[in-house]
This record gives sequence, structure tokens and C-alpha cells, in this order.
Amino acid sequence: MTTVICEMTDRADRDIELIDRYLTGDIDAFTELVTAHEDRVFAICLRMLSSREAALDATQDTFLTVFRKADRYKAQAAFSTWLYRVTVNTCYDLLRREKRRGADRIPESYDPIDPQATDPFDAVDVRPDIESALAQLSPEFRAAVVLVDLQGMSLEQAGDTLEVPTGTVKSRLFRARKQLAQSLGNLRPPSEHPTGDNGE
Amino acid sequence: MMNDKDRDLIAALAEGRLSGTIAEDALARIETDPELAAEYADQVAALAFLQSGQPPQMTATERSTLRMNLTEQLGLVPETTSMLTSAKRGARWWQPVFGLAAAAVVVTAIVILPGTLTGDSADTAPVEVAVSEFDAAGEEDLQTETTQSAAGMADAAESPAAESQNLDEDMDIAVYETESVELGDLLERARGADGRDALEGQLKGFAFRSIIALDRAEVDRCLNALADDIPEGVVETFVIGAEVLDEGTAEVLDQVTIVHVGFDFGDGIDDALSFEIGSCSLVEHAPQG
Repeated sequence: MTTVICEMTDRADRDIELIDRYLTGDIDAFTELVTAHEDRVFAICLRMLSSREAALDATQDTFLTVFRKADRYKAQAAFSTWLYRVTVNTCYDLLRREKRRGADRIPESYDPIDPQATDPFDAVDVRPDIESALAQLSPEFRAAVVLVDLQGMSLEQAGDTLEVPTGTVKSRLFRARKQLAQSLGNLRPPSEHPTGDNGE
Repeated sequence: MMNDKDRDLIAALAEGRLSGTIAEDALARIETDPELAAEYADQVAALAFLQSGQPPQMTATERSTLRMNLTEQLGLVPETTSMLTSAKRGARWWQPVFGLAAAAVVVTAIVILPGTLTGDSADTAPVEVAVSEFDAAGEEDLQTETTQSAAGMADAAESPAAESQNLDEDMDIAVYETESVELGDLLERARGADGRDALEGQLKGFAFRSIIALDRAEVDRCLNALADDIPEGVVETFVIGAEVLDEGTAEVLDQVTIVHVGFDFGDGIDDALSFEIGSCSLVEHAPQG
């Protein structure tokens, strides 16, 4: 555990140093920052947007925003917190844009439920993947799940990233998981329903 | 009726944050209340589902696209460089930065060449690789490796194949910048890799800045020309890196490309050599491990 904390601190310190160097025109600092964070940014975007193409666009927009506004970065918060905040906000913007267009993006792997199916488990060929399941959540709930349950952030880090109190993160997580479980349960035989024996 | 305290207890238990008697007490409390038990089951089911997936990763192509677009849009590299279509170029942005009359560009890419040294010259699809500016500290070493003018590259630029900028989908490419272009260092990083993914993983951490095109047929032609320098028993050949060297003045730059290839004898990459594309002359042969 100590090692992990040290690594995180090292990373945070390194990021601050790299931003400073980038602002003085050091191109290597730029490449190191991108290399260090691109996978995680892309993972967040993909989970938020359910489409690789959209995720790549969002990842690009995120880094463009961060580097173009690098001079405004204050080292009061970790660079990664700021970066992931921009990431989530970029995804929110894209989702809002999609919504305004009136056509919610259909996840690449989404398999629509057959309304004619009598057995809910027959309604789809396969169990939904994570992107499809997450796509059913509101963006705010989705972000909480992505940051904490999928990216392993602490509640506090997620709160800082989303700019909401920790209690709000807890609440969103709890409700998001409940929705996920219920949507999963609707696609399973009764015996496998997660709330089958106890809940209803 | 569930309250916030119950919710936190259920979440903590489902996330495995409780242990010992605290966890046992929490579970006992939950089991006595059907509503809490149902909520707990939902949390456990959702978490199990979320943890069942693999973390998404960018493909090599997505990674190179991202980095190329970023560098271009941020103005870090003024234009995508095609070494095959632009053998000579004018002044470049980084020259005043480094205050140098000549500079080096380093390319590191991973390309699997199907087959070994058979060199199907009919396949002239360009291989895209990434370019990065090499820092001034490494330039002297790079330039001493270079002995050739860009005549070969100029010839290549005139070939019909060189005009194509389409990515060859059959040639999977991962692209990373290297801090060093010493062949021995590249070999050490690449050693043991027995496939594109493995090589990509081992070279991860390198970065890159833009994309150029390498002519696959040119690479194959040189490998054939260097057959005497290539050891017996190679089962697969990888392009693990390349260097594009700009030489000359700010007004007239010549380019020379040195390609590094690694050889897999069945147990992963265990040998490497460098050659100059165009002239196909051997630059360096790293010793086997």
C-alpha cells in the first residue's frame, strides 16, 4: 500500500513538473503526459460514450483542452484530477450534443431487446456488455460508476473529479448499481435474479 | 425504511471494505431485513457484473491517430511528414528551437512483416510509422550513423506506390517514441517479443509525434539484399524502429532513413540489425542474446 501511495505521489509530482516544462515549450513533456494518461482517459470516455469512435474523439478533445489551457492549471489539485474532470465534462458535452440531435448513440455492441419475447432471457442473444448496461444510466450515474467501480478511484477522488460532495458520489453509486442490477435481473431467469429471494 | 447509514453499510459490505466481526455484524443486520437484503444483493450483483469485464484499451491505430492529431492540432508538428513523398523539405519549426543546422527525427514503430525475408516486391503498400523529434543530445550520435544521401528516397518518392498515403490495414502498427535509437537498446527492449502485441507492450512508454510512410516493398527489398547478414533460422521479422535523419541546412534538407528490424527465431526477438533504406546498406548488427 505504501508503494502505491508513493507511486501516486511520484506521478502527481511528475505531472506538475511536466506541465511546467510543457509551458516552457518542452515537447517531450507533452509526449510523456499523453503517454502516462491516454489509456485511462480513453477508458473513461469509452465507458461513458459506448463507442470507440466517440471515445477517441473525446480523448482527443480532452487533451486538446488540457494542453490549450495548461497555463490555467493550478497545482492545488492533482493534474490527474483536473484531467479526468475535463474528461468527464467532455463526455457530458458529447452526450448532450447527441441528445440535442435527438438520436441517442447506440452502443456498438448494443443488442436490442425483442419485445415479442415471452421469456426475458430469450429477449437477447447474449448478456449485455458493460457499455450497453452503462448506456442505460444517466450520465451522472454513469460517471460515478465509471470512476469508482471501473477506474478504481476513491470516493473522495471521484468527488473532486466530479466536483460534487463525497456523499453525492455515494448516493449516485448506490442508485446506479441498483439500476444496473435490476436491468441485469430483467434479462436473467428468475432463479438468477439478484433480488429474487429476498427483495420482492 | 432504509436510511443513509444503512446505504453506506450495504455499500461498504458489498465493496468488501468491511472485515471481521464488523462485516459479520453488518451481514447479520442486513439478513434480518428483506429490504436491506434485496438492496445488498443488487449492489453485489452490479459490482460482480462491472468487475467481470476487461478494461478497454486503445488499439495501436487509435493510439497513433490520437497522437498525430494532437500534435498537429496543438501545432507541435506543423504537418504530417511523408518521407517518401517529401525527400527534401524547407526549414522546419524546430530548427530555430534547437539552433541547429541539422537535426534528427526518430521513428519507432512496430510492424510485423508476414513471411520472412521472402520480400514480396509486388506488395508496395506503404507502412505507416510514427515520427518524433529527437532531442539535441542524441543528434550527434545519430548523424554519425548516417553516411548516405537521400538519393534513394528521392527515387522512392517518384514511385506510384509512394504516392499512396492509405494505411495498409494488413500491417498492424504500434508506434512509440524512443529516447534512444541505439540498436542495442531497441533490441533489449524488444527482446523476447513474439508478436505485435508483445512487442507493443514492451515498447510501451515510447511516444511519438506524427506519421510518415515507409514503403513495405522497400523494406522487403533491403532485407533480401542483406540476406547474407541475416542469421539462419528466422521465423518472423519485425520492423521495430526507424530513424529519419534530416541533414543539410535550413534551406535544403536531405533525408536518410535507417530501419531497425528484429528477428524472431521461434522464441521471440533475439537479434536485430539496422539498414539504410534506399541504398540497403547495413548500418549495424546487434549481437544475439
